[in-house]
Amino acid sequence: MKWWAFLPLLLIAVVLDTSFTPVAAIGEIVPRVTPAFMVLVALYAHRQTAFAAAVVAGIAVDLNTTELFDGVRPYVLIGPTALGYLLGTAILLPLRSMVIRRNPFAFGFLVAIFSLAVMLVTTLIFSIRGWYAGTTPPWMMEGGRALGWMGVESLRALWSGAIAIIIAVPLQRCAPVLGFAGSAPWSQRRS
Amino acid sequence: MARGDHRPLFRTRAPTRLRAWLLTLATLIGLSLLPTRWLAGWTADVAGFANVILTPSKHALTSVRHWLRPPPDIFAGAPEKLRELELRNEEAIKRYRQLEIERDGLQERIAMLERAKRWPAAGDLTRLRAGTVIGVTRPSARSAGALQLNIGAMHGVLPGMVASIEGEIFVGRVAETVQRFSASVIPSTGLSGFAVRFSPPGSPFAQATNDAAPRGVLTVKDDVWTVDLSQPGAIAVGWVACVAEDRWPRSALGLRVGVVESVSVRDDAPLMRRITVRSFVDPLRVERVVLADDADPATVERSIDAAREAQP
Repeated sequence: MKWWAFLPLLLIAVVLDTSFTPVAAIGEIVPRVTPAFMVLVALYAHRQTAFAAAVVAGIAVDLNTTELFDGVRPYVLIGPTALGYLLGTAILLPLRSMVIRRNPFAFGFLVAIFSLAVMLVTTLIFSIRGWYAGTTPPWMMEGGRALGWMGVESLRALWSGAIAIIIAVPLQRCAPVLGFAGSAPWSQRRS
Repeated sequence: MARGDHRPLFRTRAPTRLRAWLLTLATLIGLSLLPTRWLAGWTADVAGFANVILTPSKHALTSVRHWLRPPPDIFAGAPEKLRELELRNEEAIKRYRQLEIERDGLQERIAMLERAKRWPAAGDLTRLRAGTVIGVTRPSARSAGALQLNIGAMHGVLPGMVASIEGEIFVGRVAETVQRFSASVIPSTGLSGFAVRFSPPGSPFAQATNDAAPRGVLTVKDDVWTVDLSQPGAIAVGWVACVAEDRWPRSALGLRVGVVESVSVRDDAPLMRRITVRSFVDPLRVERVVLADDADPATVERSIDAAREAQP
């Protein structure tokens, strides 16, 4: 994979997620495009590269999520999304040989699976952090429960998958830019 | 199996790779579970740094988003009176923040003027004016450059006032022509032919302005300040040159000009020492200055009246 191409595209995806994708929101259900980008990488890249890209992308997403401690002190929690992306990539790697990668519906399905994996990891970490004094999980701030929050996040994952079906074709066009030849990483045709 | 790409992740590669991945995982888990009070502050700085390049594009995309899908009006269903009150509340908050910024600026200026007023050479008659540099003319073949200030004759600025940083470090002098609302300061590096005295670094004001301290005239030659001294007295590299010019306002006495960079004997006059002086600050990079002089109030009043009358 060409990292010099990956990093700008990742930044574009992160910026789109923070500033533009709410245009397609249905109520609180805001789709995300970074998982779709990471699924593209996981479909074509070597295992090690896919994992490394997941860590980088996860940290980039984490760095764009600022919270407030004691209501005044800003902080960024680095790690949950990166770990979520790692798990998502680990789930996707065995699946990629079972799907038709160029099929937009398969792509959307994988994006939903990936996003659900991220949701599981982040919920687990936020739940553990909820035991600390003075640290409130995101669902508590809205007066809800973890299950409700997971439900909303699951709907976001599904909506991200649906959006990924639409953007699958243009994203696949980006594959050569990233240095992916088109043949599968496990293919014998790949040199 | 032509390549090893589909081998299990942690099995066949060198152990260093396994260690690297374990370390990455441990770091991410550790960071994820750190107590929040340990994260507050530094992580926001890291994120702020990382977001520098993203912020402009975020603004642009947010604008596009709002154009495509305008944000809902939260007071859409509210009565007209409530909407009006909310607008007025927003205006009041905006004005309050504006006043807070103005107050901070004024407090900063007051502190600067108070520090300048405490300068030992400043007397009861010393007038002080705080100014902000709003423009810089870089030195060229025709001029030594100039600083443009946001205060002028209407604010009581007179030609010849001495500009300094907080009344301690010499920056320059106000040029002969003062506009109504602005004034030009000739930077210290563009001034030539004024007297300075030398004293060891950290000397008190009395020692720096003492008649016994070596005194010479500072001249600019090829953009380098030099002083030719014939009088005896120890001078060493690192000593401080202070203003000792009697023709200038009294409050300028003792203002630090620069630091001695070299002391050598003149080739053509072995009894004379040539001292080169380096300026403390680059006067063209100063943001705020304090102007000082000892003009009598009547002169100042006349100048302000003249400026007022010249108003179209």
